[in-house]
Amino acid sequence: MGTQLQQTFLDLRSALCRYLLARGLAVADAEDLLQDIFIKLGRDRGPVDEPRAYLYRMTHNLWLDQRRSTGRRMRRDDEWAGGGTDTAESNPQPSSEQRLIAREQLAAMVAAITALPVRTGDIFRRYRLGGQTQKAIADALGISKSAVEKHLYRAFAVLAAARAACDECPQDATIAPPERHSGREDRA
Amino acid sequence: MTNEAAEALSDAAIGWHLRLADGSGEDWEAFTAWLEQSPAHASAYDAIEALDAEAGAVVAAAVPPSLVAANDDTPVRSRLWWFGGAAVAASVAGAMLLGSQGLPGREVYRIESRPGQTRHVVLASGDTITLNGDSRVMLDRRNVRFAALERGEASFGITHDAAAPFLVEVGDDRIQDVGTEFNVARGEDGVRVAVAKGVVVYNPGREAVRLGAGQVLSDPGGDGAVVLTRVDPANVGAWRSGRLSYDAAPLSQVAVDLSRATGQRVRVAPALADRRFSGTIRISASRDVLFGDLAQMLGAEARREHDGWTLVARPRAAQ
Repeated sequence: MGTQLQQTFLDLRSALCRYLLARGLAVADAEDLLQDIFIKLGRDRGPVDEPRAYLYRMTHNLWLDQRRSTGRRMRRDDEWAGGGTDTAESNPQPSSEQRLIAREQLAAMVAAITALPVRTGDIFRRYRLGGQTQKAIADALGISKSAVEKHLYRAFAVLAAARAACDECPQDATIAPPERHSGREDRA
Repeated sequence: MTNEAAEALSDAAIGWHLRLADGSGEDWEAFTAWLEQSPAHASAYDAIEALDAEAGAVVAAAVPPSLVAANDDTPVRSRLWWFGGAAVAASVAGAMLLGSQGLPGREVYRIESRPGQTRHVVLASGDTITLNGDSRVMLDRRNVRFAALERGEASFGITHDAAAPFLVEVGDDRIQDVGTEFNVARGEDGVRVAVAKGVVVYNPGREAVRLGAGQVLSDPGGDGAVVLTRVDPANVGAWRSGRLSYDAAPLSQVAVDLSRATGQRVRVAPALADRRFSGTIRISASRDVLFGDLAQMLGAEARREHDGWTLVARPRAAQ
């Protein structure tokens, strides 16, 4: 007898597997990942709002984690095989001048966000920096959720266009990305 | 793929990304079907997801418009001088004389402000320095073109003299004016310089970064990256009129500034210390309103304590 979520998981298992295959995973790898999820679900997680969406999200996140760590491992192996190539990564401390130049290159994206209408910018900020859900923003501003979605859509479209225009620029992590906060860390 | 097709695909991916953010099981099923239609769909979606991962940093670096509680669209223009109003006229006469401090040719003295107090200083040259609360600046009687910010934050209004540029020292860093109004803050997170008018040069002998009106330089010190961002020049030194403006500042810094400005101790729970804040806080509001609004914007809770306030994370439903 498993937990409630494990039960839902078993009902949803083939759909989740289909998702992972659509993501390009081999059947065996997809099965392994689903097995991991099943085990994790054995620990009590408290009540969950939308169990099926929750399980999809969890599958998606674990798949992302796995892909990220595989990517890192492959890059490390490449560098090892190449005998220490002179990549940007092997020079983690560029001069402050270089940093300033790289900063300029991301300015296009910053400018695009800055140029958004005030309301759109405010909503995007609440969503991305404030970590508020679309529904919470809609409630706070007294507008519909689909209106919030339209504002966010516009913000992402503008940002995507700015980045596409700047794709030739070498990317550098010059803007220190704020720590990403998961709900878990916040539960102090 | 044509540009339009790429754009349409990217737009579709954005739509999915927003829909899934709080989507249902059915949304995910539909999304799976969309992914299965073409491998290009998956790449487009991945690109948007990666973009979103960067978006926090980008939006944090973008200049926020003066913020404003959700239900308050009135621009904040009042010059209430809520804090330290009576201290504004404090003059150099009240300064503490320290003697030469062993530096030849210098006759230095300090001007300090208490938390919650603002002090306005007019130098013999007519230049002005306004000290934010809990700040300390060191001046030299023999050289009116010099100031060292030892702690806290100050705004400078300096008349340009090509023959004798005004120099501000902040620890090992130097800021040289080229005729200007600018604001300097020194805290645990390093040095922040913002220019309202004219031009300053940051560390003339080293990085020699020229900053014009509306530019902000943040130098965390050590090996940290020097970062340039922009700010509305009207918001530079806004604390002088009871406003604190931020551009992706860690909450720990906001707390330091709030303590400085209100004279009440403000703490931040460790879980929130690195969270970023952008916007403008109006100090002139009542404390309950101020901390309540701030907490709401941050998705946090403001707890009142006997000697001040603590911002703590709001418990959330399981993720």
